Amino acid sequence: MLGILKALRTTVSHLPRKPLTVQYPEVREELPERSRGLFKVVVDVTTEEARCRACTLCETNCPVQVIRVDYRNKYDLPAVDQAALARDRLAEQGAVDLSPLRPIIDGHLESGTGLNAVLQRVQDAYGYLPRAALQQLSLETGTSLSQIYGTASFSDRFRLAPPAAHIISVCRGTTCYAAGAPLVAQALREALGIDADGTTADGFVTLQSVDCLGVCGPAPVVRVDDRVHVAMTPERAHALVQELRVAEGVT
Amino acid sequence: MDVFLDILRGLVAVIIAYAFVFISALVNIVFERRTLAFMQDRLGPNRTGPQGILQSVADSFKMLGKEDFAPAAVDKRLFTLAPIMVMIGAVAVQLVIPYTKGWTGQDLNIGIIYIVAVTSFTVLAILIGGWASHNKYSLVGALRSAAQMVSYEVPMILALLVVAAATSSLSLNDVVSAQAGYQWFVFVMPTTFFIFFIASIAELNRGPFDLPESESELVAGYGTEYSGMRFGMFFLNEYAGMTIMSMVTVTLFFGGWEGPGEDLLVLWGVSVIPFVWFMIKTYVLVFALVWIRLSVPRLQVNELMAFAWKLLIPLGLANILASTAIILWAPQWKWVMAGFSWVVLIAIVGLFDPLLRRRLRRKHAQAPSLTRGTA
Amino acid sequence: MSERADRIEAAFAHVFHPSMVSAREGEQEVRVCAATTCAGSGAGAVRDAFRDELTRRGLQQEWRVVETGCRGSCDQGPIVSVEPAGVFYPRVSPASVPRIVAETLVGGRPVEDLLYRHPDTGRPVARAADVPFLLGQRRLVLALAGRIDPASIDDAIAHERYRAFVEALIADEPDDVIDAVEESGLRTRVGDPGSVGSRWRRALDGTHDERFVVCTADEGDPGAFADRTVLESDPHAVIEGMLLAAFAIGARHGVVRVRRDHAAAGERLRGALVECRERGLLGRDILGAGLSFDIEIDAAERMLVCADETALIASLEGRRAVPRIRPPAPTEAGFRGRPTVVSDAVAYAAVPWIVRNGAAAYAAAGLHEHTGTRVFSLSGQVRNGGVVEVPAGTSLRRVVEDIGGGARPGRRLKAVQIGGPLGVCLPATALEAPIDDLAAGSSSLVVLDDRTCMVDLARHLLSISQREGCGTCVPCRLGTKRSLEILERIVDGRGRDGDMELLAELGTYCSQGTLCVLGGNASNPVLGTLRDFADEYEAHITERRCPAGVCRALITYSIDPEACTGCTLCAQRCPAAVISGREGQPHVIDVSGCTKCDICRQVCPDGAVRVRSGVSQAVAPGTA
Repeated sequence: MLGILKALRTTVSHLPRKPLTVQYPEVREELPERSRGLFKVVVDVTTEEARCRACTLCETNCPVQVIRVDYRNKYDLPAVDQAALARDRLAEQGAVDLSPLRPIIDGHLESGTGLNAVLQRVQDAYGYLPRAALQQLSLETGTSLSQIYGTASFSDRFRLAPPAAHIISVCRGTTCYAAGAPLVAQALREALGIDADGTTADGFVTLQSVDCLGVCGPAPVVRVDDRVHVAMTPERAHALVQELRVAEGVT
Repeated sequence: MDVFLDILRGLVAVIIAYAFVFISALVNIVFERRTLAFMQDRLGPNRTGPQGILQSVADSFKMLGKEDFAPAAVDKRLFTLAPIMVMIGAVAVQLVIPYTKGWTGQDLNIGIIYIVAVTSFTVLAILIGGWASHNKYSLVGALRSAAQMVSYEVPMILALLVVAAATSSLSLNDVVSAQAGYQWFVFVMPTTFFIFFIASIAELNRGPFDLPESESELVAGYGTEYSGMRFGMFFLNEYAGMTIMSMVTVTLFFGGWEGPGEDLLVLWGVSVIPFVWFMIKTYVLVFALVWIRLSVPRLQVNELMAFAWKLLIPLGLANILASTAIILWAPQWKWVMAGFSWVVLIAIVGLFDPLLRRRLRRKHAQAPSLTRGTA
Repeated sequence: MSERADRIEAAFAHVFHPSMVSAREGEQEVRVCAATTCAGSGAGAVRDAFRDELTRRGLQQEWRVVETGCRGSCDQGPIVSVEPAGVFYPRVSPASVPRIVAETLVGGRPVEDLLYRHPDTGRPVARAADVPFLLGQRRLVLALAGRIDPASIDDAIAHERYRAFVEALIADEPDDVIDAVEESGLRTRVGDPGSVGSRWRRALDGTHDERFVVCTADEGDPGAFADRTVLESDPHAVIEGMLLAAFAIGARHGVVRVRRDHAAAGERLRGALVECRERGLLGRDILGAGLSFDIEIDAAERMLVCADETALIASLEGRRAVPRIRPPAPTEAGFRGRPTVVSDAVAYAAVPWIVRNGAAAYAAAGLHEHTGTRVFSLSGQVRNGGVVEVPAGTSLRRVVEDIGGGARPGRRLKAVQIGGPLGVCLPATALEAPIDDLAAGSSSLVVLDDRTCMVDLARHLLSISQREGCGTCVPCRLGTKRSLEILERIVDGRGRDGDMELLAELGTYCSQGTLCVLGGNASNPVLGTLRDFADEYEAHITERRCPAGVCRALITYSIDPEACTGCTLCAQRCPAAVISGREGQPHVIDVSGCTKCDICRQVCPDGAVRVRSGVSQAVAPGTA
């Protein structure tokens, strides 16, 4: 009973108070800092650095495309501009000479060739797609880095890390598959000492599976750098790797 | 010709009575919604009409616009009868209430009993509605509601009898006169008021006693199969009942139309100021009803019945005994009554919690709970 | 009207430089196929050998060496034919060139032992036209492939290229062109298989400032090379087809998607486009008829998902090749939001023939109620593979056995995989089916023999689709992944009861719940093999046996002591060094270390290595 009286007192005490709600939409409330309506880059108080890694995932995934990760205008942050991780990634790839990019970008801006062609030219120039080059490309063409990354990562042709000295490509078309390409691939993997497609530990050879090399008659087909070898067998695969090693003086 | 005029007058009175019921219901709805809102730190409906006073009108239009259908299996005549019948109580009570000085519909000399009799129509209407719906849940809801209302009529009557004893008359006008000079029965016998007030809340299916119509418990109880204006009738009746019951309470315990400035404004032989006081007091009580509804958690049906039969009725009986004894034999009975009643009320309020706790502890000690550790 | 005709004809005559025609009918030429496959087999050296030999004999004025496009018989490369007699030499090596020059060019006789041998009779076949591979074909789209030098526009024009275009320009009725294409029933492989003509007609709807013509030579499937062949061997056919399309729908720009790894095709097309521009067949106000059209090449990686038109268009726009929902169809809003017609190169190459010879003639080229011809890349365990063009409605049996020569000696035909990862696997018992709409995806037709494990093949094809899926639709992304996991388990010997039903269910949901062509057809190989080769699945799951002897987790290699002569060749070559035995004694394989690389079986001269599978130790075919 007393509790009820207390309850009655509590509720009536709210009567004279100012309501918490506002007459929306004539009056709009100031949104609190962490509400989902606005967002800004978080600065870690301990390290005083922006937590943003410029991964551009937010930009890629925003369903209404209202985010632009802009490398030109740095945020008003006390920390140094780029996130530490991006810097590390760049450092990993070493200094990249951007001069080969110039003609490519000029050509692109002139003729408007598709992004695929530009990326292929960049890969031809460097052997892979260095992040620094992609960033430069993004800056100059105005295409967001996430879009460039999306196109680049969508197909396995584009390499985002430096390749090995030699690239061995095993055709994985249906014909080659039916003719025994998996056995050849396995033999190559054994010979190179790797478990799956990729680069050997010493960076000697990158083994990759590629699509039709166009020589479907004498399958299976393997391409080493620029030379195409037809009618491969597991035994010849071993021999091939051996030859390569001997030629390079690698054990 | 006279007969014709009488009939016409009667019809007009009925129409005014019904209109009053509807209008008071509409007003109550907005009043409650806005009051609840303010007490909950929010605004409530304030867009339709200035400060939202036309909100109920808008709701009524909506309800009127709904498709009027009845499920195929219902008892058609009873299904249609129930919503119509439910309002009879609210309308008929208006006959005997003294609104202002010298202005009562019909000053029956059995006014109090008349009120009790007529409000029972609501119970009937609810039972009919539940039965006619051809839905077992509606029926259960209706039965619960009927049980609740019937159970709480007893303490209500017990309290009314004390008032009647104090007034030595059953006529409401006499009740008002007996309270003249600000000797309102709420000050003289607060315990009786307490019993009556709680019983009246239960009669109205309001506040903590609204189980029969709580949506989360039984869909809408007896009103499940009703929609549109049929449901609207039940709904409006509840809100109209708030006003009507408050008016009755004001008449019985708060001195009716008594208030300062009685004869200041007289229009066509009717004193306006007392009427204003009457309405103010009524709406204070309506506010109290809203307030209680917001603040007190709903009672379960077993708690509800237990409260009525095990608490209010014994209390009411004891109250009647003591009160009539005082009225009969005590000198200056009003003062004695007041002293006695206030002491009892304070005792009830003060001792309720500890006694309840002791009782519960004993009950739990008999059947130790597995989930609790050793006491 | 005739004044216009004269003007256009005059302009066209200006385009043609008759003196630069290299391949002429009826003149003395040595035609060397220089398409990719033959080039890969050494055609370059053969061509040089001919040139050297002719120079040495001083015959370079009398005999011309012409590099042509694909003759079709890619398995028999390098292919050489001596015209005008039409003597056909397969598998020419530079060493045989002097003999051929001496006896055939000078002496006029075919060199018997170098001729093509009929696979059944073993008798030599002198003329190309009599080779069974070419006999059964109806080369309509590939008419000029192998007859002209694809690098020469004059060759093409001399062989009636651009005639249809010029006549269409003169007549100036775009509707007639669309009518012809529509009535012919020409179909395209891109997107949902559909009629080319109806797409052109839909692109005409509404008012737009621009329309685009897109040709794709992507072919999606790793093993398809029909579009590539057309581009390598007769690029002007495709260009003319696109010109006709541009004329019909009023487009000003065209794009050709060429695969990066089809380097030769891209080069040929690039060269052809340059020539066209120089001669005025592309660019502004072509031949003074008012049409302005130019074509751009977009070279990109093969993407299976680009079998879907909207994904292809996204990729052309430089974005990720993710399909989008239709409507609106690309003919309504495609490349850059404008109406776009998309077809594969083979379809465009057929258009000039249709416009020139009429829809009825094209339709009549098909058998029964089918219209036109179909081009396929026939490969696999078949004796004669290559690019074939057959009348639509030809039965598979005819293509595989009569044209293709059937399975390799000693092997039994098991199934034919049509259309790549998005196509179907037909068992050998169903070969009477007519080729028409079976190939929804790519043009590849791979013949499989009894040494192909159908479960493993289904797994491989599904892995391509799963890898290439764009990831938008949950049923495709997750369905193919889970199906692949199940298949990998089965192939690994860990199949469970209920796997087959689960695969069927997943496959059905995947095909029903997806947006694009890839998702809708990715489960075709799985569902088809489950239905037609259920016994193989059951063997894998319940008996842990691979009937074909392919799935490495389920096979063991062993040497039949009866057959082994103890030559020690296998022991020498085994990279894992698990074969032991003394010389002259039967050798033994230590199964615990065997990596199943198959080298021992391949090098054994006595055929003593057995591949066994399952508890029953059934011997795999080809190893008994």
